[in-house]
Amino acid sequence: MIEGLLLGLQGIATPANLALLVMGCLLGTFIGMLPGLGPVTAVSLLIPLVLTMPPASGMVLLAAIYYGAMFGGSTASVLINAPGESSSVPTTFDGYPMARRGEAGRALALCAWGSFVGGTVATVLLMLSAPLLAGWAVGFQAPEYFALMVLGLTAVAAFTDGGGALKAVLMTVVGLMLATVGTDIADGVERYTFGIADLADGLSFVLLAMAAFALSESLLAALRNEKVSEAARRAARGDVGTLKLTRADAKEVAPAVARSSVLGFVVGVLPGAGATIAAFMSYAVERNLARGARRSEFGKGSRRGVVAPETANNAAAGGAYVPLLTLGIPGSGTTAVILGALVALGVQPGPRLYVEQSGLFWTVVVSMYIGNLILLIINLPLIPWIARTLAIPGPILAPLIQFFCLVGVYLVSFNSFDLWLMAGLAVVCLALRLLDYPMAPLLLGFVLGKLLEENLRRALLVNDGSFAFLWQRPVTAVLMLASIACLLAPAIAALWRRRQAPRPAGDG
Amino acid sequence: MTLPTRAQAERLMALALLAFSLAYLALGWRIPVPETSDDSPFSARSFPLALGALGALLSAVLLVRPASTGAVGVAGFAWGRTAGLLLLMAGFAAAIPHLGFVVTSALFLGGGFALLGERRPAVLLPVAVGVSLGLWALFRVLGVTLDWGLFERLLG
Repeated sequence: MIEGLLLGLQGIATPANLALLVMGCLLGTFIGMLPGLGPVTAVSLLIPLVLTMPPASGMVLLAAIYYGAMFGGSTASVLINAPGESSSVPTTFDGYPMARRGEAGRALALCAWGSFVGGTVATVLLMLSAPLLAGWAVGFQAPEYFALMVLGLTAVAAFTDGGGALKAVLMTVVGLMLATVGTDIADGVERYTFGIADLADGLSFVLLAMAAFALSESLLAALRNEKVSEAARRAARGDVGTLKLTRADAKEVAPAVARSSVLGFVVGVLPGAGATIAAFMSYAVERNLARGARRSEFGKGSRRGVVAPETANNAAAGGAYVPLLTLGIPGSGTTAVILGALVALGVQPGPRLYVEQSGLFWTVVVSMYIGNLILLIINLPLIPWIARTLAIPGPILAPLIQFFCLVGVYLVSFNSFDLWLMAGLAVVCLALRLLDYPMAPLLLGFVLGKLLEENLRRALLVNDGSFAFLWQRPVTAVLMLASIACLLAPAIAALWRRRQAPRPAGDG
Repeated sequence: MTLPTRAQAERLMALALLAFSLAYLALGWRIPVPETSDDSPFSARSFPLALGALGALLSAVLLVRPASTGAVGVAGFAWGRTAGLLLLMAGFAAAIPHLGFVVTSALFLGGGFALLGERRPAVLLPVAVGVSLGLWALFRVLGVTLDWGLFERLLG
């Protein structure tokens, strides 16, 4: 492990990589702070740039953007009650009341310290657990890979409610369908290309990520016609109060930070769960553990209420890297985009990555330690200045984001066909999003589609076309059972809620 | 024009996804399979057929039982502006091979700002032209020369 850390230090200690790390943290914070834009948008916008870099540098930049955006999201939650993304929603519950009391700086410092500890604990746990998981999975063959991917895809459904689960599964299937466009690897025949040469290599991952996230997000913002709020204008003046924490603050939040770090990491590792669930869960845990006066503070500006979700969502972001780097299975939209970038950079994801690309693995791990420190010592003091971006008017922001999407896709292919395709897909994604169809499963399906098909093909060839491998191999059987449980979970949860709900008078 | 209600919109989307899945399935049957893989359990056609069937089944369920997870307030939505932005994107795609990067970008940004209500020339022009020229210069430094299209040819 010491060897690995030294290898990682060697990887990160180049001027270029360190500059990328600082840039990623700042840019991530900046984008994450903008209303409505979260880590997924931040990461997708940067993909075209990342594809021009060596894999390790690209991964360092994307990871920094990811946790930088998580950090930026909390700032918007505290200052203007407008979370950049769903995992920062619980931060508004107590962060915004603190800001209204004139304690915005303290709330932001709590977020920053929580994020730092959560992120660092998650990195330590990632470092300890990844070798174990990779070591266990390194003997996996096609059937296990297939089952693992099925679990990754179905897990998304488990964490959406009732009707949402069906939509999530359908979006996964549509993502898988889109992945079949292009030349089939095994038979060499073209599928769904309609004779268009530009489609022979399949749909571009950059294009789909932009259409599903950044572009449709900015169209949605234009559609909603959001104005800069008075709170945003106030925050943009940069008066947030002290950014220092007292000893009493530290003593008060320490247990919550410790609990939320571990909880966030564990939830982040689970496929499909991710930062949002981690943040809500840790908020609920802290509220339930609090007694007396502390409990009644929740919702009115409790320090533990601010620190718990922020610690947990950063720890979850670190946790999400465990299945990503050791199994090649992304657990969320953001990690799906990062996995797609990894594949586009020519790195084969999976348990072998840890062995064959150990330099890349350790560079990313060490960059996370340093990145979390950068967030604390560089970004936190800069917050009053970065907060000025909150007052960028929508009429400037939306066209700029669309422009960066267009330029990003154009620069990858220099092909205007891709621009047409992206605009068309963005319209479809916009319509789907308006009706609450989730986009993360779509991208997850698209990223895993080719690998899923390839492993199913191999598994069937080895087993003479029989599907018996699904239940005859122990690991495969367990993974398939877990997948079935994931698919059934939302229905069971709905049934349970219905039974728990008080019956209306006169019923039965 | 009246907008469909939420339940109608849900059904329409499910219907569209059903049509998409069925078309995907139908086209899947027409994927040519090389003779060598006739006896193989898995051909280039197998996965698409399974996906098409699954997609059709799921969208049919959503069509019969629309899953409305709460009404979305569409009141006050700026449909016209959003359509305008989409037209601008189409314009960008159509113009970039001819007008080159800088001019197309500046027109797109200026048009977008104006469309969304930023009409002050002192804000609109410097940002639109500055971002376009700035990016062009940045890529020049990175070793990518973005062309000027028509203007390059005019200037010889």
